[in-house]
Amino acid sequence: MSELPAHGVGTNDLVDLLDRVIDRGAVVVGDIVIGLAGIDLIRLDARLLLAAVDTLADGGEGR
Amino acid sequence: MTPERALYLYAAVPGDTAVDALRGVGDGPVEVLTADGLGLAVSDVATADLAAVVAESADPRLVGALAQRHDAVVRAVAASGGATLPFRLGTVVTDRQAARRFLTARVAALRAQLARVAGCDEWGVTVCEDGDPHAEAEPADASTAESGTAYLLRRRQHFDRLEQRRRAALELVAWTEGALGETARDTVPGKRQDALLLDRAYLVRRDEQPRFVEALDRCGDRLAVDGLALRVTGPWPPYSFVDLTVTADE
Repeated sequence: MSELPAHGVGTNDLVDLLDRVIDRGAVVVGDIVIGLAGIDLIRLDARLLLAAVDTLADGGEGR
Repeated sequence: MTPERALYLYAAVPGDTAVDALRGVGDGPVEVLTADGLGLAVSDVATADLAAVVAESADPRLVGALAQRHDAVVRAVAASGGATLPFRLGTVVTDRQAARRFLTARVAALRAQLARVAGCDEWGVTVCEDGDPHAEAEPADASTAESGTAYLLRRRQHFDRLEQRRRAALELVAWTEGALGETARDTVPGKRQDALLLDRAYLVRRDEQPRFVEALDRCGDRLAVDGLALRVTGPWPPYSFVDLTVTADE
């Protein structure tokens, strides 16, 4: 991609990605879906992961 | 009973979308199933592989790896075709018949949403306070050299300045939203809109991208003067601009 803006692009890529692919996008519920409970568990696990990454990202900034 | 195999869904696409050799979750080949002029990018997965990712004892990095593969396929599909409506991570259906049923049950909605995102990318934009270059310490406790009145006056001035800065920040953010919204086709609030000064996703036509990026730079420079940080992610597939919910009895 060309001409990316100068302000803070490309940091925390995985966090931003999880933010997008977990809670957004077409949501499927119901009996054409298997492992629906599993999808909910993915969300739970990812929140824990996000919390851990956030902690790492904030460390040392003293805010 | 859970079947051993399932179809993992990446994105809904126009029916004439062709994908080059592409490996999906669990390394299965990605293909486009079609019905009614619409397509679904899918790959065959072992349900045990997905169960392993979501098991309580699973390494959380597995979720990250799954997300990266999901995103890579969505991006590749978007690059090889036109409009792309991405699914949420971990969406699976039992078989091809169920996948085609998904398409035929919502032809109009899918076409309308594909038309909306065609030729567009998503950009994420946040604004928050960046440390604070003009920060001043709150007045210390009154020293013996200062009268109580002088101390209270100084303290009052301090909070007046804080309030002024807060208002100036809100005005700048509103100006930023205006400048970005002008160039974007659509925008939706992000999940942290309450915690940050600004958290929005913007849907931007690719031929408008230079103008949008120019607006981002202009806004970022101005915000930085006041100690506010503009943060940009993108371009993304339009994850935040899909509005489809599937219910059980279709």
